[in-house]
Amino acid sequence: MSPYPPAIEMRGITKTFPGVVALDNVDFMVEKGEIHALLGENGAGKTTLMNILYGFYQRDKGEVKVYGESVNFKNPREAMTRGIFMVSQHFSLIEEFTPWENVAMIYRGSGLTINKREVIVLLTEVMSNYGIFIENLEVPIKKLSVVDKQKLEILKALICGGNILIFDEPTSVLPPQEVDALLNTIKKLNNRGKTIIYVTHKIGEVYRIANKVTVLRAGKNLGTFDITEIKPETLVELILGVDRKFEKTYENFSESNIIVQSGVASLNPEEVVLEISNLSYLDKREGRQLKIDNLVVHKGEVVGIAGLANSGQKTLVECIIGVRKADRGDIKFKNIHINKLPPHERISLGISILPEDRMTEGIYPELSIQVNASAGHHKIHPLKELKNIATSIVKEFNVKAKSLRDPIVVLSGGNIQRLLVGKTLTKKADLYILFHPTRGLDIRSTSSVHEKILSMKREGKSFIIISEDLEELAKLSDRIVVMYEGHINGTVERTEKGYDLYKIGELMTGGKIG
Amino acid sequence: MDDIFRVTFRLMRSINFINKINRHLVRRILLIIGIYIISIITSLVLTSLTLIVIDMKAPLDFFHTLYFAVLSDPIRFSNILTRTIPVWLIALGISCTLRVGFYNIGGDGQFLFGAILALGLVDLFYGLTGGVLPGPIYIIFALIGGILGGVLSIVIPLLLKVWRNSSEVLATILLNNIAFLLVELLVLVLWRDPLVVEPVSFAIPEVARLPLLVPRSSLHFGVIVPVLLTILIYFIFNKSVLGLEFLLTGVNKSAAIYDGVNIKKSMIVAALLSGGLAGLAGAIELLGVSYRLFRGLTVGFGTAGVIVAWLSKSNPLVIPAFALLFSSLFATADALQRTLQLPVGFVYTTFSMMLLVLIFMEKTFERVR
Repeated sequence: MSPYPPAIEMRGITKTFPGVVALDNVDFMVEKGEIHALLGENGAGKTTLMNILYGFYQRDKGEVKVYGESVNFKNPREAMTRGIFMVSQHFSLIEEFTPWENVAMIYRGSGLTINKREVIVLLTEVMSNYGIFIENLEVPIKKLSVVDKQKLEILKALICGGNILIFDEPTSVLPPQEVDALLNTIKKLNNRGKTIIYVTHKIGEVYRIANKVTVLRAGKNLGTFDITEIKPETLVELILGVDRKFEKTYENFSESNIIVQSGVASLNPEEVVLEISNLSYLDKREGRQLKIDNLVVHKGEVVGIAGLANSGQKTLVECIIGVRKADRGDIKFKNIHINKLPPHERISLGISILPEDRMTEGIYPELSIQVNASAGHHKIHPLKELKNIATSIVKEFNVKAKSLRDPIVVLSGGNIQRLLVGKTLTKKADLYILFHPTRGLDIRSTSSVHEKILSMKREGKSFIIISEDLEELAKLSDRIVVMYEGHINGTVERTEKGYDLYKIGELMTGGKIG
Repeated sequence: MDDIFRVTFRLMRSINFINKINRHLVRRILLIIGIYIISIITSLVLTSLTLIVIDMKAPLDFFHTLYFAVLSDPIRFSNILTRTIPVWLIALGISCTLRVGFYNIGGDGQFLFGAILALGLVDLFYGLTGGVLPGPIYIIFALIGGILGGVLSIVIPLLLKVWRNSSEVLATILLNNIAFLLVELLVLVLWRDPLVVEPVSFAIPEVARLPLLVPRSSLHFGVIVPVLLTILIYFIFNKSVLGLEFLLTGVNKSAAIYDGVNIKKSMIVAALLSGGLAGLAGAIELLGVSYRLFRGLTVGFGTAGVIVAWLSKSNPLVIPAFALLFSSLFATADALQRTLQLPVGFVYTTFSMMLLVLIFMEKTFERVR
């Protein structure tokens, strides 16, 4: 036992939302200087527990102590004064401002005015102290990569004297090769005496950095374990709850089964669904460029698109849809030249899209779950049927909703993702373009979405899947196209043994494979 | 508050068919009604407090006049209804644009353009035909002219928005001024009636005037138009693909594009509806009430329309109620103008307070929930 009081001690925390008990009498204790992982499926209550600690929600019952002192944070600002900071999935940065300006927002130097030099000196000092570097401090945040944004969030917390840092699913927004760097950064912070709470649903990451792990399931604490004393299998069982259904899905998820199902089907080279040739697009102001010489999607084919964040995947999709007008080139969909058509006409020809950012491009925030689930279906089905369609989507894709009349925003992130995936996959179309189809989903939902995609593929539907999860791409795709700085840097075909992920990684970072 | 819900719910439960309605929904509806009642009462109380500054007895005068001007006899109520028509129509139109997220602040301008075109066209047509055709033909001609005037005046802001994504708020406001100045030009110079001392235009011919619906009052047949259009717009909003696409476009344009909605079409149709309805309101006011153009033809109907549409949450069935409330308060202020030297614009204060309280209450309850 440590002689000091624990950094965080939460006892008997209970929190209910209308109709749902999010947390039921949860105890959670973090010793000073630990990296403590908080593990659980979507909707297990991890984020809710952290939001209570952070003062974002108020608890119904229970007690919170920070360094042995009873506290009652009414808002995150009060938590910050005690040195508790959260690096969340959605960054709290002002997109129009530069990094140093964002720091200046929270750091008041001497005097009334903001001293740019002072802020930059401070920022560089903290950067070199902790070895977290952002190269360009003078461009607006919106032009920075996700990695830099995350670094800046961490730096902000450090500058404000953060001692207890909460990371909420930090790797879910990162490209795979940046995960190592982040985990190293977190370890480095820990070595400097920072207490870390690491919220995640990925067991692998827990083993890579944490000392202790606490497992939540359905709002209950299933125990805290020393990482050296618990086996991964036991953790998986705890997270999911042991039952036979789980064992079945886990088998499906693990390796071979799916690969065999999807193995390069007999593609008919004649039946081209989408053909892009010599497409180019340049927007200097936004710094977006695209140059695609040739990209073909056949009937019944799944084409995976790999690439670092912002490598032109989104620009490509926006050019296919017509949200952006390509400068040059030709796009043929089902043998129709669609270059000149407006977006809605292209989509009516049979394209269904799961947009990249589910909160800003996917949902209609004020509208009901029913409208959100059935929007877009109204192009084909009469209005009277929309309710039935929404009901069946919610059922088939296991969206946990109390009433279809509730606004969509009452749903958790995972449920929103399932709903949007459901909406996209049930639309009648020939080509489905999916951004990160299983982002934020737990093992069970992920494997059922994968199964659905593969069964639709067998029915002759075509897919373009953009994902940051290379294993997911490897499982689903018939071939993987790698994008780098707005062009296709190479195509990797499936071999007997699957994909050469190393090769894909090389291509993603600009390497050329002979 | 909870007790009230519970008691009310039990009362409703005792009626058998309500058993099926879910409890959550009933709660929500009661909450909304409660918020409305509180915001109306608060704004009236605040109005009274302000009136005390003028005279201790002024609030009493105000409510007494309110009762007298609106409810004391059917003729007076009919007069109030007449005043309701323009606000009602403009608010209906603005509710369309609010749904798609297009902010039309130019109700007054479109109203005036509608009136101008209606007067010009009907005069021209009357001259061409020698005035031998039956009245309804001239009336229909004038109404179409009104719609056309409103539509034409919203086309410029609309095109700027759709093509160049420029602010429709600025463009519609500026067009208001153009409309006001055009009216000045017409009544002072071009269309001035030399037989009248005040600067007014010539009058529309007798046959083209809307006949009275209630004798001895000012209520004319034009009141049928907003009633029919309310029903029409209710069906557009709730039972048609167009209405659903309005909503999707208004809430999230990006998502709507990905769902295959033609967002430009939604915006264009909604804006044209809005302009057309405001223009129609101008024509009806001309044909039924004023018969002439003059400077004070609109006393801020456009602004009132925006507030009424916001207060009604773009629900066409609620719009008439708030339009009626507005015109009642307006008539009251108009009457008090002489006795208390109360400016008519005072009504806008009351209405703005109502809206502010409503928004405040909604945001508060949203957070509590």
